[in-house]
Amino acid sequence: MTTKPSPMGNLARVLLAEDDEEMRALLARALRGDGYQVVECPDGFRLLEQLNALLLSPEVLCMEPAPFDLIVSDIRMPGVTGLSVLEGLQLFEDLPPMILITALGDEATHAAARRWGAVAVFDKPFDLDDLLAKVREIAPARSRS
Amino acid sequence: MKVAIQLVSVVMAGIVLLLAVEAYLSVRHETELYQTDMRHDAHLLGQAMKGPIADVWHARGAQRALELVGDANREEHVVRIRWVWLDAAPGDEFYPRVGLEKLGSAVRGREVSVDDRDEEGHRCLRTYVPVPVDPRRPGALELSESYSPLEAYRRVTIARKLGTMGVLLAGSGLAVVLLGTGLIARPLQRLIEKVRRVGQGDLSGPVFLGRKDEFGELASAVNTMCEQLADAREAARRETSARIAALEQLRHADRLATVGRLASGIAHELGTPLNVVWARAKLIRDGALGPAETRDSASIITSQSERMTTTIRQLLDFARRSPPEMTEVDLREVAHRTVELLAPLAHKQAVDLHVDAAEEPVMVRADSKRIDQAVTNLVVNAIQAMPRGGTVELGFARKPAPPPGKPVLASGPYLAVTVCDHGSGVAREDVPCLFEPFFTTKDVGEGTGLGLSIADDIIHEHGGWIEVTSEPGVGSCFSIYLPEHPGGNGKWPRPERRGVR
Repeated sequence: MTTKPSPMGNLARVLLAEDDEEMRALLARALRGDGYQVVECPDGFRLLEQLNALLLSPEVLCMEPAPFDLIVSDIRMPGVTGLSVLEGLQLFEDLPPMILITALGDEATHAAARRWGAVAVFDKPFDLDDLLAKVREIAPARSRS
Repeated sequence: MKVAIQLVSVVMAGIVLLLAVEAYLSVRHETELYQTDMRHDAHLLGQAMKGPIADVWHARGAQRALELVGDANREEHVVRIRWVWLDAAPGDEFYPRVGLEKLGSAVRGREVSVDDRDEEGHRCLRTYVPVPVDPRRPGALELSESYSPLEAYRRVTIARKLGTMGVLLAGSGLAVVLLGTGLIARPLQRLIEKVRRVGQGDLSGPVFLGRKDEFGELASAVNTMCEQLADAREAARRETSARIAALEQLRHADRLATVGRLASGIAHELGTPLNVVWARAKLIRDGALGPAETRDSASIITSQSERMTTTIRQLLDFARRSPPEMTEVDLREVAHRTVELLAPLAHKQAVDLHVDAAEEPVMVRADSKRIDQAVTNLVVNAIQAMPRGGTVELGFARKPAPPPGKPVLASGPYLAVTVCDHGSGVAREDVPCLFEPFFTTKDVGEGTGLGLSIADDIIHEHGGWIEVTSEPGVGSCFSIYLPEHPGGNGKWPRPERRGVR
């Protein structure tokens, strides 16, 4: 889990936050299979750590382009929820787009997610292919372009 | 009716007394008049006879005069006339009937009247009129008149008064009874019935007496009171139904909120494994995996299905519990049983389970199996709070009374079993949510999020409560407080657990 550009710098990078190990493994596997470089976070704290390092460290501030092309995050996680992270990111400009996954598919959650600028919200259980299609649409895997 | 009778009795007694006094006075007055009359008659008769007797005595001798007295007796029947010597010896023919001692005045020449009794014992008036026939001896005419006519007159008068009184009493009594019944007893009876009905809660049917007196006013006041009572009752009823409706609404909202929380918890608990199952199954179906990965996926599907099954089973357990069976339970035994049961799990997680020594039994009233389950849940929770291992300490505590605001059954004392870990602790703001179904700070898969809510529910059912003290990074202490068994020895002045505050 590093914020430094990997040697595979030409791959689109996805920051994945999901507390369920099996689910995370599944998502990571699918994204990698689709040609993305994936950084995994097991909870909200790690997600925040990644983003803090990315946004506040002077040495990475000048990085161009943003080290992550996309964030895929579960909403309900121990520590910090995906929604809180999204809300906190409003302070910063030029952020990577965020896709949220939730088991609480109620209207309030969707509305909050849209308000804080999530590009898409997926209700569990969802079809993995739909998520991958959305990911491709937002952040085309650069290795293919 | 009783009031009317009392009233009538008083009035009657008054009338009787009045009549009796009047009768007594009038009879006495008439008696006096009659007596005066008798004395006057005797006086007149005596004076009338005195002259001729004296004349005859002087002119024709004593014998002739005494004959004249005898003649007068033959003519006169009401008054008996005798000649007496006022110095005659007792037993003498001319000895006065009343005796000489009462006739001092007569000896000195004055007329005397004396009440006496005749030979048959009847009362009579004897009047002695001195007649100067012999300067040496005091002689007198004795005029005796019986009181019998007076007695007869008195008897008749008294009988007549009594008769009048009786008729008067009967008449006025009848009138008063009739009037009393109509004017007092009947309206009172109706008012009493009305008030009785009001007392039984029946406010209907106003009472109308059709009168403009105090009874009418009372009736209308009672009617007004009933109307006001009915209004107040109706208002209270409306208010109560409104309150019940509001409460029902609140309860409904509360139920909805609970259902919502449960639903979102279930969705979260089942959504993720279901997603994994779906995606893994799809991968297998699409033949996108190699043989090893296919096997892995299948085993992941199996474990995720088991996880979902466990969640559903616990939910069902949560919903389908029967009332607790209360017995005497020693919390020390509960602690030891739990430690024994969980030793393998603790060992796997490198956690030591330690139970404080307690010399005295810690007796509470509880359903042993339920308490086992609650304590087990707390200990499992403690073990899972220490992923890097450590020690979970079980101890005992006592409180003389429940803290204010706890919806408990007994006023105290309460005994507790405490479970303390040195794990990650819980953030202050999360403490109130700890017992909500599906609230969990653990990695998903470790707990179902129901353990603490089940424990809390069990303890609530027992009339106790669970107290939590926790500090992030230091650890948590959960204390299960239960009412002390009445037969308990009460020797629990032990200090609170020294665990993490």
